[in-house]
Amino acid sequence: MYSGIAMSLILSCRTLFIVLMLQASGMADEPRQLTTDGVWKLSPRYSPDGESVYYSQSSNPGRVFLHQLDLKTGNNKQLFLETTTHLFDPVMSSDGRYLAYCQSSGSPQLILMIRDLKEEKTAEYKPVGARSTARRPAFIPGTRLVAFTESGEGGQQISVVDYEGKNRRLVTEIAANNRWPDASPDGKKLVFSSSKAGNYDLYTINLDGTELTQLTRHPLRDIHPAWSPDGKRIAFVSVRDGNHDIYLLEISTKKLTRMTDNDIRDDFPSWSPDGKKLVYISQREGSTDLYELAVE
Amino acid sequence: MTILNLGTNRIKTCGSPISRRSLLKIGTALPLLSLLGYQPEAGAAAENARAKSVLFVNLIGAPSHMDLFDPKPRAPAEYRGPFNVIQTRTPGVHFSELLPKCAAISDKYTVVRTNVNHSGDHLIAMSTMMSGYLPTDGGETGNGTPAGYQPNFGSIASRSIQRQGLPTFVSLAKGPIGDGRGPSLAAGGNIWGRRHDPFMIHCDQAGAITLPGLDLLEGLSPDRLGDRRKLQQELNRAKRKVDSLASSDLSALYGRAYGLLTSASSNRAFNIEDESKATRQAYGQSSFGQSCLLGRRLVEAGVPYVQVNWSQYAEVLYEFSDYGWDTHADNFGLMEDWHGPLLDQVFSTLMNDLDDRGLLETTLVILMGEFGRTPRINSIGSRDHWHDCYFSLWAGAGVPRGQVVGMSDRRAEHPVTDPLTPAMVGTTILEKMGITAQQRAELNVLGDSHVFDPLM
Repeated sequence: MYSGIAMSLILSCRTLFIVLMLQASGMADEPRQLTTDGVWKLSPRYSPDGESVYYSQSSNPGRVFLHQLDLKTGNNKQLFLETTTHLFDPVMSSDGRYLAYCQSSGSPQLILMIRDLKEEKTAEYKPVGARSTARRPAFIPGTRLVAFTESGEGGQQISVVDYEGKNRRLVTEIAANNRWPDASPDGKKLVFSSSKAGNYDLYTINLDGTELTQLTRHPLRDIHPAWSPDGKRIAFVSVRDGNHDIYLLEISTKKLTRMTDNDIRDDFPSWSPDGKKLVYISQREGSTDLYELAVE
Repeated sequence: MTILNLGTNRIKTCGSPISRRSLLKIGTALPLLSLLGYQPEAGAAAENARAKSVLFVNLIGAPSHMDLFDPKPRAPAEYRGPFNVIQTRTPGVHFSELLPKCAAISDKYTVVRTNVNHSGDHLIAMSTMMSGYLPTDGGETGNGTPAGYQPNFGSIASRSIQRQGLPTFVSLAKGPIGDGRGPSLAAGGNIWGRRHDPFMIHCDQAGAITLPGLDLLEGLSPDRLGDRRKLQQELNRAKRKVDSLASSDLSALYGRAYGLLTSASSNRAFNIEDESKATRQAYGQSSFGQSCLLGRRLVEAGVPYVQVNWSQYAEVLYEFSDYGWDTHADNFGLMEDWHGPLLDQVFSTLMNDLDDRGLLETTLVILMGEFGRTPRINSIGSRDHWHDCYFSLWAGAGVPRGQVVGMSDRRAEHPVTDPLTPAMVGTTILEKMGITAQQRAELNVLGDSHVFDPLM
């Protein structure tokens, strides 16, 4: 992480940090609440040092901004305050040098931004087409590539570009909705959701577009996959038990473990760098907040 | 404490002394007469009206009917989209899997699957949806001008119904609703004049309330609202500024505004913080959620017509936009991450809350957008405008519970049973409110339309 991040960071006092320390009281399997403001949030991800969480949040007046929550101090900072457009899906590279996110721009409607925090330069990838979009970027370890969901001619596919936003290449060419890529820790495969079989199931594919493999098969949707740092498991969200809950899939055995079991919406799981925790959003009694769950 | 925010220095930007043009601009933002106890002209609505209040939830931007309340799981892949269906509480009826909470309470409302509109243009279709009429004096966008256009259903209601101490027509939005080209017609009184416009209130995601219509009252902070003497000074100052140019209506307006804003009944209705924490949380920390909660409070207090708007603009992702339903781009991602779960949470909470309080006996609730979205998925994997077939939800005031009315074809492209037109929507609303065909004829509105029988 670079302390002199070349971004406009302004401390926001609106989010209160709760240090519940449930783990210290022996409730290791209880989630730890990280925010309490309750406003709509999307897509949290840890920083590579595990000390912060980046996410998107609805803010007045009707905008979506990026936020950074410091897990030690509870300080919550809104990023890119000078920006007047919607910002989504922040994620940092494993070395902490790059921040990728998506920004609304009119035409095309959402572009991919890759910010070099050291050089203070931003590369852009603009999908072709007035109403095209880029969503949910993911850095691919061991490469200088970013995978993302691209909506353009040809439907919704998984694409990659380099850190300069160039050399775009389709990874999937599947006649279906293909979304939410995440990379294996060795950088050789992507996991994503595809409606190829009718509704969203999880698939993996090699980075060169070969070896498409279906991981889950259920009539209700499996979405928002995240590959564990040890490469053995996929965390994802399924509504197969009636509402959004978080599951773990053991890749080698296909064993499923339900991590949340309640009638509230638990969504957008993301692994801590050490693979011991998941951060996610949970919608409890209407409030949408960040939670952290220990994983054995 | 009620959070009310008044005044945004509009006077300063207009200069001083105030010009007639500025005054007209201010007048545009000051649709207060309906709020100020305006006298009904067409006779009081029937005492035995089924609907004492209407809560019209306006999904601006046009939601996808196929991805919500009219899914077609057997349609070809290029139509059906990635979402499966789930069983609702109503036997044999399925919704999209995006709506588990709405599905669980489908016994509280009726789904109409045969709405049609006359245009796929947001501004025109919104105007038609809210008035029953197509704009006739066109212009480049076909949107016409307010002075030549028919009134909003809420304006008709407010002209026919009088309730002391409360506004008669409230629209919840942060500004005039429309799209990036400008505001829609039929937001208010139009040919009847601005005195029949709604009283506009904006409720943000924290439940803080601002009154976009009271820009003249610059410098008033929420704290100062409680200081009646200072508020009166501000009202008097504003009145002096416009007295030389204003009509007597406008001069009288400020005193009445003061009366209303400081009256116990309206203050109670506006005060969302009187709600329990659990109730506020259930509606969620979003502008739409808190607006629906305020809408419930307003109908509970007796406001005859409340229009809750999902957003101010139709568009989703432009710089100015505030997450409307116009999902030309990334429809399925937005439906998954934002629009679907937010609608499911808020609407189900609203219905449960109204039902638990017994308000569905006397409150007519309508949920709809100006049209639907293309059943056939477009070339970028999303959905465009479709006005030939879409959905609406109806509840309360004698509307049957747990019904699906009308059927669309196997691709949800066209109704195969009787369509529900915008004029029929309005006629049904007014009839439920006890505004009879004779009264409608006297007002010269919706004369050649009829009610939609399955909802009566």
